[in-house]
Formats: sequence, structure tokens, C-alpha cells
Amino acid sequence: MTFAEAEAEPLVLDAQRVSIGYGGTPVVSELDLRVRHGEIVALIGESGCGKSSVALATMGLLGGTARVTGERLRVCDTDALGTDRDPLARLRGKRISMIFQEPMTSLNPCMRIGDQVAEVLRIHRLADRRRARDRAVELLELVEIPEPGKRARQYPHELSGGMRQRVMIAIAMAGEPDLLLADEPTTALDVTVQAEILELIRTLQRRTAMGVLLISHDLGVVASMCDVVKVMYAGQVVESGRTAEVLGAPRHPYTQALLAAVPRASGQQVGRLAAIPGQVTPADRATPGCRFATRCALAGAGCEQPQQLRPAATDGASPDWQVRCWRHNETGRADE
Amino acid sequence: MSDVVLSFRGIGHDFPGRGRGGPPLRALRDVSLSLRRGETLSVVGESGCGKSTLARVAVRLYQPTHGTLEYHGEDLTRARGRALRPLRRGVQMVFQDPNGSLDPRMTVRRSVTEPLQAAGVARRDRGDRAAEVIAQVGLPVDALDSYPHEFSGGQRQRIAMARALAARPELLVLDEPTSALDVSVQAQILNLLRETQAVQSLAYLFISHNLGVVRYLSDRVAVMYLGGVVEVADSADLFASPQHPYTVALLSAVLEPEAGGAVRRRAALRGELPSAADTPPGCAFAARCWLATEQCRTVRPPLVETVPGRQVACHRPGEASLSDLPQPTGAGRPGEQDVRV
Repeated sequence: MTFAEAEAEPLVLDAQRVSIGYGGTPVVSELDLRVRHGEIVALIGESGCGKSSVALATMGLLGGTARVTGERLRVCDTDALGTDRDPLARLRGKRISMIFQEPMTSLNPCMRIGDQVAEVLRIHRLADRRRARDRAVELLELVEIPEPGKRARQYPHELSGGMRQRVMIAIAMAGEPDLLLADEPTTALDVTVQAEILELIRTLQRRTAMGVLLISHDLGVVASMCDVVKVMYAGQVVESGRTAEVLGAPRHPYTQALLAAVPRASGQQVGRLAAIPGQVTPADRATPGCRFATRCALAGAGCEQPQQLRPAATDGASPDWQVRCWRHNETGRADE
Repeated sequence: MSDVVLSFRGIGHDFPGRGRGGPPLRALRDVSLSLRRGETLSVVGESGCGKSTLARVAVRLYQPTHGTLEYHGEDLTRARGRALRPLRRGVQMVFQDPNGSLDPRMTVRRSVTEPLQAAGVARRDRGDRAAEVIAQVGLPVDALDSYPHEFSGGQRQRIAMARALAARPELLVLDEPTSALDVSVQAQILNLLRETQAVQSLAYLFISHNLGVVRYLSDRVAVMYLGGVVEVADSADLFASPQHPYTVALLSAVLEPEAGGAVRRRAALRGELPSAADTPPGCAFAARCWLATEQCRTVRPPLVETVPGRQVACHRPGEASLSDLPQPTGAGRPGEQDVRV
């Protein structure tokens, strides 16, 4: 798919200037995020950067003191903002679905696998009882679970971690979603199993042309899976663009630092890892200026000003490559 | 005194099987490894391969059911009480989760001085030593009077390291010490581990499933599969030219954050670890191996030295390579039957 063709695909997620806060503490500020049909978009960042809150807001699953505000949050053509009742209830499990990090805690331990898959079909009235049971076995087969008929009658504890994650994916796929949210789907899995699960998600995504929002802290997973990546730091997107561009020649000092901090199993061995000093400033103590400045090697006068996302403006770069750093032209040259 | 700090000789460890008369779960089988002063030996493998059990045997949290554990040439496999003291002081452990391994009701000072007390250090010297190690791990001295909850995950792992270092051990057993941390913090801890080792010729037994981290820290690497060691080699050799097909498969599954999203050809490993209670008679990896022959399924290959310093347990060592892997298989795609056994 060319860039222009991709632009023409309908949006399954359209967030504009969305902010999320818990009891007055802001965790995500003014996030712009779009996921099109047939596209895999990644949100990456370290713990506490707000990436999971974005996923939960998209599902309409933020409860309690959470408040979502902004210009627009449309999920599968449904407005998710500004109503008291739950506008996404109809869509959840059908047009939007989600898989989580820990498949053991997301599955009901007292319910047979097949019944858990069939439940989604029954709730959304996609099938009657008998048909739902058959369809559940088909879905288990779709996610490449061997002997699906037998597995459907088993309980979650009888399955390995990788198999459980496949069951979660089967449940997510039951309603043939337009948007799949995957929150650290392979973090709890071994590398060889991770490879299989990612392959499965990609295969299903290509077959159904659904949009996928992948949330991860693993740059390797993102590089191998995603078309577009947004790097989050302390509740803000600091860099955004095509994965090849952003991870290939990162412009924001945080993206650069993150890549430099990963020890590699292949390629050239580094002398000393470039750790990022200090830690994330808590959101309630954030200053108006650049939030990464306290840990940034390039920080200086000017960084205390509020930073906007600006086009990276490199010759030949796609126009949607954006960086939240006023010195991004220097960072580009400083790289390597 | 010999250069070898700790050796495992034919270590096996069985856990009782399920129910009465159930087959025992063989967590470790015939593991022989030794650690020299100042060296880092990493143990890698997937969950359930026995690497954490090995770590616990090293500090004698478990008494192995087979084989001998030697500390400076002395057999401490069944030692108790006073006889175990040298090992208790000289071998210290850092766990994966610092929230679980630090007592939330103890000040950092108490946590850090407790091993000193156990090692018989005089009360008046303990405070100085605590201040010394807390500075060594990069924390301010006033951290000693705080409680674990006042620190971030990375700082807590530093405290756990300070506690392990307090009694001047010769060997640290590190069981996934960075896998609960963010990458930027992980890099800080990895650098700290390297620096600490450089100043006091400490040996590390490093347990991890993260191959990037292992490569960064290790002198030698042992790859485990289903309770047994399948390959041991110098780190550089292992990553450059793995000899065992399982090592090849493991390395090929690592996703690097390189540009373009190009995925390297991965070994088409289907299925997961067989149960440790019901292992096949031949090579434990045969059921998932694309090179397996009849011999592999019936005769267990011993761990033998193929070149000096390099041991492989495989009937066809060196035949698998990263550049020549079967394609990943998916539903209904050709080749599936070749690898699914």
C-alpha cells in the first residue's frame, strides 16, 4: 500500500487533543492519535508514560475518577466523549476489542475456553447457542490452536501462556473487530512464543484489514510489527511518524536515548550502554517546558519553553514525521 | 586456593510429582558448570527450563537431589549449619522483583546490615560498611534511613544489590535482576553491575531470558533446555556462531529495534516446552527441532566439547545456522508438517 492509498483508508480511531487525568492529576496531555483501517500503529514508552490509559480510554474502560477531555475521540465512528452513559458499550467485543499482557488474569479460570469465546458471540447476538459453540471452535482453529475441539472443553489453567494468549486473541477476533487494541501482548511470553504470537496478530490483521493499536515498551516488537509509531514520554507524544523513519534516524533526544539503552543480541557490541540518568518527573510536578529536559543531554536555555510537535522537515521525509523538540535539527546531526 | 569459586557437578533436582506416585518433575538434570573468580556466567533459556532452580541450588535454597555442589572445592551439597556459613556469606543473591525481596517494614539500613550481622561483623563497623555499599550502588547515604516504598523500582534494585554486596561476597547470583525494569533504568543497573565487577573481581551467575542483556554482561553463556544444559560457550562465540539448533532458534527469535521493520528469518519453532515430568527418551529438543533424526528421538546426546572451551549436547552440532533457517510457518502454509512433530 502506498502512502497516498493508506491516507484514503477510513479512520477506526481518531483522537484529537485528548487529555486524560485521574482525580486532577493529568497523565496524558493533548494526544493526537489516528489509526486507519489496515494499519498497525504503536504507542511506545516506559512505565507511567500514559500509554495504557490511552488504550483504556479508547475502549471506554476508564472508571472511577478518570476524566477524558479533548476536541475529539471517535472510535469506529462513535463519539466517545461528552456523554455520561457508555457510548462504546455496544462496540466493545465486537467492533473494538482488546488483548492484555497477562492472559491468565484476563481469562475466567472457572469457565471452559470454548464457553468464553462463545460468550462474546452470544452477548452481541452474533450466533445462537449451538452455532456459537461451533463458531468458538472455528475461532480457536483460526488462532492456530491444535486440537481446537478438545481445547474448547478445557480450562485456562490447562493451557500454557502462549496458548492462553491465543485464546485471548480468539475472543478478541470473535466479533470481527475494526480496531484491535493490544496492550503489551507478548511481554509475559518467552521470545520464541512471542515470535509466534506476533506472527499470528500480523496474519490476522492482514486477512481482516483491521486497524491495530499496539502498546509496547519493546522497541524490537514495534520495529517488526508497526507501520506508524508514536513515542510517549510523561504523558506527551514526543516523536511520531513512520516506524522506519522514527526508529531508523530518531530526532527526539528521548527516542535516541531509548534506542541507545537497549542491549543488542546481534550486530556490533557496544562498549557501555547509554543509560538515561534519573527518572521520569511525576505528572503533577511537570513544568510547562520540555518534560524530558531534566534527563536530556542536550538540555539548555530554551528548553523551559513549552514544546510543540513540529514537522521533522528533513528532505524526503514524510510530512507526518513530527518531533517535540525545538533543537531537533541539531539532534538529527548529532546522531552517530 | 583454586580459581574456581563454585562448581555444579552433575546436579539434578527433582520436585515431587503431582499426586501420590506421580512422576517427579525433573527441574534439573545432570548440570555441570563452574564459575571462576571475577567471571560472569549467564544461564539462558525459556520459562521452565530450570534456570531459576539452578540459581536457588547455587545459594543452597534448594538441596539438589543429585550431584554435588562445591564451594572452593569443598562439597557442601548436604552441609548444614556452621558448615554452610562460608557459602552463606560468599554467595549472595539478587532477585527479579525488589518489591518482594525487600522487607517493607525494615529501613534500608536494617536490610543492608542484616547480612553483616549474619557474617559476624561487629556492630560498630556495620554502619560504616552500610554507608559504603549504599554509595557504591549510587544512592545517597540518607537513603539508609528510608523504607523501600519511598524508592522507585530501579532504586529498590540498587538497594537489593547493596544488601547483596554488604558482606563482601565472591559470587552474586542474579536471577533476572532487570526484567521488571524499564529499558533506561535497566541500562543503569547493567552498567552498575559491570562497574561493581570491575572494581572487586566478583563472579556473577546471571540468570536471564533476555539475550541482549546476556550478551552485554557475560564472559560465558550456558543455554538450558528442559532442565539440561545444551550448549556452553564464550559469549562472543555463542552469539556469533551458535552450535545447538535450540540456541540458533532462540537467537533468531530476538527482535532488534532496527529500522525498516525488517524481520530476520526466524526459526519455525512450533509448540512449546514438553512437560518436565514427562520428557522424551532422546534429545529433549527433538520434538521441536527441524534437524531431528531417528537417533535424536531415541538417544540422548551428551554434552561434549566440540572445540576447546565449547560444549554442545547435539548429535548434529553446528549444522543449524542463523542464515539457514526454515521459514516461519502459519496456518495452512507449506512446510508446516515438516516442523510439527
